[in-house]
Amino acid sequence: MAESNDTAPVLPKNHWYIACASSKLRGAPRGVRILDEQLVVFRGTSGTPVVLEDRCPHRQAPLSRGSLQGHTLQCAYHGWRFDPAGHCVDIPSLGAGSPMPSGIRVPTRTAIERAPYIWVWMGDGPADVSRIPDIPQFEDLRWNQGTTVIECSALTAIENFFDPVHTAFLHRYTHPHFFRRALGGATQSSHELRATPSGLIAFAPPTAGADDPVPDRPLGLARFELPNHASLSFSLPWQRHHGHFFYVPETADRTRVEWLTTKYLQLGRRIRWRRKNAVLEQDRLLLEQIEKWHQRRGRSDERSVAADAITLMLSKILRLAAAGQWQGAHDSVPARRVVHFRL
Amino acid sequence: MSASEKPRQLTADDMPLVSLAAFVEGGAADRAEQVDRMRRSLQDHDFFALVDHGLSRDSLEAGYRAARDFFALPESEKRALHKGSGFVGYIPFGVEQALRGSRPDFKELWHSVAERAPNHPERLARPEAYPVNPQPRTPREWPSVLGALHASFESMVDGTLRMLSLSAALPETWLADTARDGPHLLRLIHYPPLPADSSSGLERAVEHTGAGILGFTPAATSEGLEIYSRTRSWQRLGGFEDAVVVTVADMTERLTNRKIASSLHRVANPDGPSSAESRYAIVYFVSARPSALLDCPPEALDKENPRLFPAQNAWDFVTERMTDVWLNQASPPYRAYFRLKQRLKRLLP
Repeated sequence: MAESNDTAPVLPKNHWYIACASSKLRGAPRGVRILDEQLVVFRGTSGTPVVLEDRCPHRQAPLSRGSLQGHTLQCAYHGWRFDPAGHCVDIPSLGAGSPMPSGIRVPTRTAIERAPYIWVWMGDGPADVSRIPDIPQFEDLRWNQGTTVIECSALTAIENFFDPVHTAFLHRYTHPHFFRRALGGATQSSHELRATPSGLIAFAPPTAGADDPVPDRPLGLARFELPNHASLSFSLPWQRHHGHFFYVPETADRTRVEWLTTKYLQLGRRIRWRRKNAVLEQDRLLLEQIEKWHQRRGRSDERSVAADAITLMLSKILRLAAAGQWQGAHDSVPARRVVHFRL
Repeated sequence: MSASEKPRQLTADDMPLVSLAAFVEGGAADRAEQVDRMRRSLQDHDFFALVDHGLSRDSLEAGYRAARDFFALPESEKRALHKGSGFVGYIPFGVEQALRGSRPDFKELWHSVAERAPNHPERLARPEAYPVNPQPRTPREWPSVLGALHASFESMVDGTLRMLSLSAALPETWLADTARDGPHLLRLIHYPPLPADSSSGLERAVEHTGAGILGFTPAATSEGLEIYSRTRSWQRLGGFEDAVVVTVADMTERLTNRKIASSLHRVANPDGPSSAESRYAIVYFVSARPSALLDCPPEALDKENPRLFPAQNAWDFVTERMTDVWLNQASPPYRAYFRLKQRLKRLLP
């Protein structure tokens, strides 16, 4: 157990991952990294996203430094051009009449745009479009959107998202929990945890029994959908607040958080790009330090208390999913649990 | 290929007709027979004609009745259903122009796109490919008539495309998979009577190829369709009342590396007394899923047949084609300005 805890699990590949935000891919091609794969994203003439491996088969130049010629991508090094299926369609250095060498091809990945993101299928089998994560009420609300890159493993970052206690301490002056504790003092709080076939749900206040359905609009709710979609919603006196956080593992120790949260006041433009998220910046500073300890010392001697039940359950689910065992084994995690702690 | 060339008459008896029912329901021998018929008619005539297709005479007649009633409505009422930027609804005179045409065709149209569920993945990924069809207030039976036509045509798509793939010795589902749940377009066309003096230069439809995968063309209210064959020059179609003439369009050419070539066709101006009559036609365009990639299978490539087209996304292809047609109508300075603007846009991050 201690051994397996030492290395952070790699998120499963057979899913859709975010390449970038739709609004951040306009003209020139863009290099992105997902699960240790270096990819280039660009748009065809009508805006259709295309994803290829970011490596020219000629001399391994990054295609993301290239330029668009019609619906083809031209390598910046020797001007070879590639179509959206990855076929090489033009080699400028070939003289007139000399035949194109056949079979030169850049590996491709399936990409699809579903506002506000461009999604890439990272699996080996055929892409299943129905599995693209859904963002409920995306069309109806106004959002802040942004990206935060954290130098830590995806598991550390996701655990941090589901840690219910840190908000009152770490997020000074940025989080509602901090203000509540500062003004009213600590209060006793109970959360209910449920494992679902695709992840887990945590919400407060808890229901009376295991047979009760998850309430429609609990005071606060956090949900995790495999492989990397964390979402939350809570009630404010004037509106319901929603947040979606996609933890895209760039490498084993670098995670890109693509986040989308409703505006506190539903005014102004529908999607506003934010360069920073104050809460995530506070997390980032700490998590990058924590990651260094993980690498130096491992995680086997971490001490946990009752309030850590959510993060422990989550890390178990992610480890099972990473080993490809979650589909058959989600009864190895208790289906329902109520956690009490002071916040 | 000029219009002055005298077309030769072609009747349904002169060519092998392809039975859709025999292919879909028949055994291996029947299937091979129909595929062979399709291959032969494509070879000799550059199009094929379907029989036993399941499109009933009644629903076609109802379509023509509805078209007559609709196009007879006052201009203002029709114009209200013209969406300037969209491709569905009413399209008035002077809008549609063929890529090679020097002026717009003399026709008015109605377009309605196949309806898909709001949460259909293709529709979610590209909503502009599946716009909501406007509905005219009269004729009252309009939605049901067009719905029935859409359904009958759609039921022909899969079988026809399977046959077509097989006729070019490609994997059976290559074309059918590309077209599944695509934004197929039903078009009702009204060609009004031509003015008596021929100096007006108006033409019903100058020669063109379709942009989609296939065009299903059941018999119109009068003759006039002409299709170009690479071996026999222009052929004027007559006597295809019970068949559905199918023209091959440019996406198929790309999907098969021109193993199946597009059918160049036009609607000729009638001569004699019939030029004083309106002509109504119903056409169904099969189109690729907007997210599909127009690429040919390895079976279509060999030493003698190198790749002719770079792969391209289907919706990119449609948009580029529409932009070309539209730029063709613009003034040369605007054309240059637009191209420059497009090029600059691609350089920006």
